[in-house]
Amino acid sequence: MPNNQKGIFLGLMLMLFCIGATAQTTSIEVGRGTYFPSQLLEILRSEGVIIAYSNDKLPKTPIKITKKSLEVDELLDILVRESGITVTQKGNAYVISYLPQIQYSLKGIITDNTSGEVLIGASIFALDLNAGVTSNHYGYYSLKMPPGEHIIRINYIGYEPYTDTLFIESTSENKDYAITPRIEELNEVVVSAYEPNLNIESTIPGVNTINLNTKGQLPYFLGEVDVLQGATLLPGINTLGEDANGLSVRGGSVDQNLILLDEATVYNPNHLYGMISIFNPEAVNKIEVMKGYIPPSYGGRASAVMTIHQKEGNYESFHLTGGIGIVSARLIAEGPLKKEVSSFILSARQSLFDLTLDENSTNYFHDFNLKTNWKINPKNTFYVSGYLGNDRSTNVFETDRIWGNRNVSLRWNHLFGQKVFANFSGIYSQYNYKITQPREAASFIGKSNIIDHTLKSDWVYVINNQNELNFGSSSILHSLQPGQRIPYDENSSADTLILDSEYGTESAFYLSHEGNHEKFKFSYGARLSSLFNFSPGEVYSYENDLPKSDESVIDTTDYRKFQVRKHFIGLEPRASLVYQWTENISTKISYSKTYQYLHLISNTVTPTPTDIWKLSDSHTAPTISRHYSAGLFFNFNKNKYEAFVDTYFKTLDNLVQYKNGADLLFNDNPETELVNGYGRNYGMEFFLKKNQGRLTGWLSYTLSRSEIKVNDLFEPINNGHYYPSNFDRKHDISFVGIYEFSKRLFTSFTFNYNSGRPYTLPVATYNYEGIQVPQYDFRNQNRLPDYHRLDLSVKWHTKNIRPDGTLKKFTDYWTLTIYNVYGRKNVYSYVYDTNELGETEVIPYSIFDSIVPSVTYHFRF
Amino acid sequence: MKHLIFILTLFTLTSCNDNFEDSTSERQLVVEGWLTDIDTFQVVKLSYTQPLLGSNTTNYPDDASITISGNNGDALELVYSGRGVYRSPTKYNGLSGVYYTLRIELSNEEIITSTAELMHIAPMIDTLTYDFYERQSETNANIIERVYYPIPQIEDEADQNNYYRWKIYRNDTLFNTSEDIILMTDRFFDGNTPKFENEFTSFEFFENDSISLQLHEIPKSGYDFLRVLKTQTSSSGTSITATPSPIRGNLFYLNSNKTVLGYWGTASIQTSGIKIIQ
Repeated sequence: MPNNQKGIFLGLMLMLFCIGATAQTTSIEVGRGTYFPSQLLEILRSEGVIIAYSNDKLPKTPIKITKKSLEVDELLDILVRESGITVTQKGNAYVISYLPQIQYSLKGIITDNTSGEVLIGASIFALDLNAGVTSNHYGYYSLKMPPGEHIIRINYIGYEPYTDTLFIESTSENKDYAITPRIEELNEVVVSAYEPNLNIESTIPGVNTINLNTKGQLPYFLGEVDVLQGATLLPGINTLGEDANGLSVRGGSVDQNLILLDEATVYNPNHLYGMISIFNPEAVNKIEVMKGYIPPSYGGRASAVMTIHQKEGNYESFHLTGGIGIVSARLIAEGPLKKEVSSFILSARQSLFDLTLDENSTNYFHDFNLKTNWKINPKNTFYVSGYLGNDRSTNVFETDRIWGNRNVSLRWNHLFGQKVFANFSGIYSQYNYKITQPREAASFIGKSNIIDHTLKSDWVYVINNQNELNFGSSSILHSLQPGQRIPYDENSSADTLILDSEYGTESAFYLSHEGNHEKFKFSYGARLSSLFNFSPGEVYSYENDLPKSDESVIDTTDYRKFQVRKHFIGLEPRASLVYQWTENISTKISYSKTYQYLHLISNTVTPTPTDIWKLSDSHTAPTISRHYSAGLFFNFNKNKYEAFVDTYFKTLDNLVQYKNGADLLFNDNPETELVNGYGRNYGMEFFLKKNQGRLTGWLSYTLSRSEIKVNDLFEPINNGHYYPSNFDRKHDISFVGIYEFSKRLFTSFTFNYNSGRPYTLPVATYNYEGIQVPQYDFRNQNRLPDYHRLDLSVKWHTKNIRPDGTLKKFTDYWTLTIYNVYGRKNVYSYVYDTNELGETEVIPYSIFDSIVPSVTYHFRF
Repeated sequence: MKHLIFILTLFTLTSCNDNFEDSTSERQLVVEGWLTDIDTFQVVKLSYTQPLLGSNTTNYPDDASITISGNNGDALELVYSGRGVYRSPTKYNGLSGVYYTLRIELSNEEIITSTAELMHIAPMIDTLTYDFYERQSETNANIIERVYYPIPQIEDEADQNNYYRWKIYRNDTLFNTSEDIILMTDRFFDGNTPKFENEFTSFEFFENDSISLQLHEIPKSGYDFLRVLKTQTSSSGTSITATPSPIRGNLFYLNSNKTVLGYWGTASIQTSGIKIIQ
């Protein structure tokens, strides 16, 4: 006999004993019919029976009464038998108590009913139980509830709320919900929590979600919709400038962000040297930026995790979506492969015009996304998704450069019984760079790449509505080719030069427990990570008392294939606590420790496509980050406004830094050019967002510092003192507004202000062979002028909506964007030149120095 | 009204003035010079750093005592000839296989010395040709003009590390910006045949121009100095600016903790020229 049934039986015996000892013989008119226990007890009470019970805790089991009138003890007997309550008599009063309730599972997937797309982060709430959960990254939810009737409410931003009444009578009820999007919502960028109060209740502080649903379009360069640039409008996230590759999160460097596209690592997230991101907005469902607490399921980077989920494609009908602007044209096809079972989405994007100013070269890009899935049954779903993108630059002398990412993810979601959800993934990620120089006698082909093969599994065990265990493991085989040059053809006089490849397995196990107990919520756990570097080749040992250089090599160790050269093991505890003071106010504190075993080797101020990655090894230790945060989160005016104040402090050990004048090009021993650094980043973020009304938008402000110390014995930088990192911004303000003039006309603006970034100003100049040479002393002791920019966009829908309010099959809209509205010449850096009088001229250099207007057109049918 | 407030909000955000902030430091001595294997008057130039901004009021140390000495016993004393330039009293050519050192004694008794640098032998420029590409004229869009560029060939010596620098002249005028510093090592073509060829496509010549090329074989220290100098001066201001840093040379004070800027080294030179005739 199962434990719960045994409990009921014993309870019943006990109750029968109690009732038998205190039987009453008063007859009560009840009437034939079906009653809830609460109704029967109310009848007893109305008949003068003194009875104590709590309405909230009574089971919802309906009880069928077949007699018109019953004795009190007879009625109590039925109640005990049918609903599992216990009744004890104290004096002339009856006290109702309750056995632990039987908990059944309600589980399923939340989808969009127009497209069949799963909805991530939707709220499923049992109104009668005052309990709820949110759907996970696969749209899956599992909610524990006692048998009986329940009222379920589904909420998701941009969708009509959906209410359902259910009767739970089996131990595992499967119920999928398909909810309806609001008509006026169209694909652009919005930053939001998904469900009212999620920002208050979520145990992940410092997470920002970028959803592609808003009424207006956030203006960006040449009318592009760019999800990563949208992220820079959030507190704590910025870039070095308009065309700078990558994002800095809470003062971290670009390589400290783990960017996952459907779980596949993206090593270079930009096209056009950083101008726009590689993520086709039409193919993306959701982006999450975890910049504070990083759940134990993620690791491998020291600062932040960005997860990008591709759309799944429409399960119901075929659609074609497209757009054309000055930068690119894009086309997306989606539809069912088998209705309601399998769907696909295929998207392509191609740059249209060469936007670079170099007349001797042309630059363009393209990318493709594909995703398909197959819902075999409610317990099994398969996904296949892929990305292929390239940037290409050719010049009139036939030099051809091509670089880009390739990713393939295979995933299988499976439900084990009622309580266990699992995801199994096999992932391939690649970033490569290739240069072909076919002319000249020493013509050559140069290549570098990084390839990852990943296997991982993630498990969720739902103990009950209050407790959940997450656990899993992952293993990544990193293969890095830092550089090779081979002759272009047999006529070439170039030598073959191949730098040693690097190989390593980065593995991790994690376990975390999430608890949700009324006002107190928590998530804690740990990740045990490791790197086994088994790169074959020679490793040099250097004289301890001398700087690492070719001259200070004292020994060489030759490692064979698969021989472990160096290994690291890191324990990464993580914890986050939330105390909810009221329904709308909470305090969150968190701690995350992470190990980063892979480093981007780049000695330029901003990363370039040619930069290579390097594994931790005998000379390069893993970067270790410790991140502390505490914040106050509050919503007010019926969730019309949401706000937070979040503070953080982050330390970074073993930061990879570079000697002055480091030469990293095709370097066999890059360790001779590297030095170890220590970083500390701290700050305070303020955020206020208006969610409803004609005017929506947000204001964010970050007060922060990001500093580095390099106290190397031989190569100290700035005499071993702390100095501002390139990403140090004291003040960073973003102001975003979206205004709805009518259902068809919207306008948006974004204003960004931040303190000028640190800059190394020459302390003097000198002349060498007629060239004016800046003399630099200490790094980053000066600042560029403050940066600010206003962008504006107007979005106009043609007559897409029928008089009855439904959308027409063919919908389209135009967007007018004005980038840099008041023509601000934001200084990116300075150029030094000598004028005719022999005086040094300091010339400010700006990426954009005027207004940049543009028009784009979008359609869907 | 709400519409009006929204629009007004947009245009109340105005730009501010930016001030360039200058910083200064104590002036430092700069040394410049190459001992060549060409029989000529060898020179070394001394100068001082200048404040970043302000008029060019350069003054030069004119009372230094400068000696170039070789490990073969040669010693060449230079004499001041104005504007910071010290010149050998007679013509002199450095000898291959000899290590040379520069020594400077300043009037305040500070002594500067260089590391010893070996004089190599630069390979011959075997052939010098040119090719062209066509482009729209910058002055007249209706005209397609031919832009010529030089193509030299050299035979690199095998089994040794060679560091080369090219100097390119158009009608006897040196291309003299930092972008024009052309540096090569033979790491990618050591001693290979066919002879190493390079197309200097970033140098523009036109019909009837004369092309002159100098190939300098220089020490590794000189190569590294020029590499960093080029990186620090030619990429500044662009989006891939190299991390600014001091440029290390091969000179240091013997009796002071101060830093000497610049570089002095050896250069073996080969020359070749051609005139562009259609």
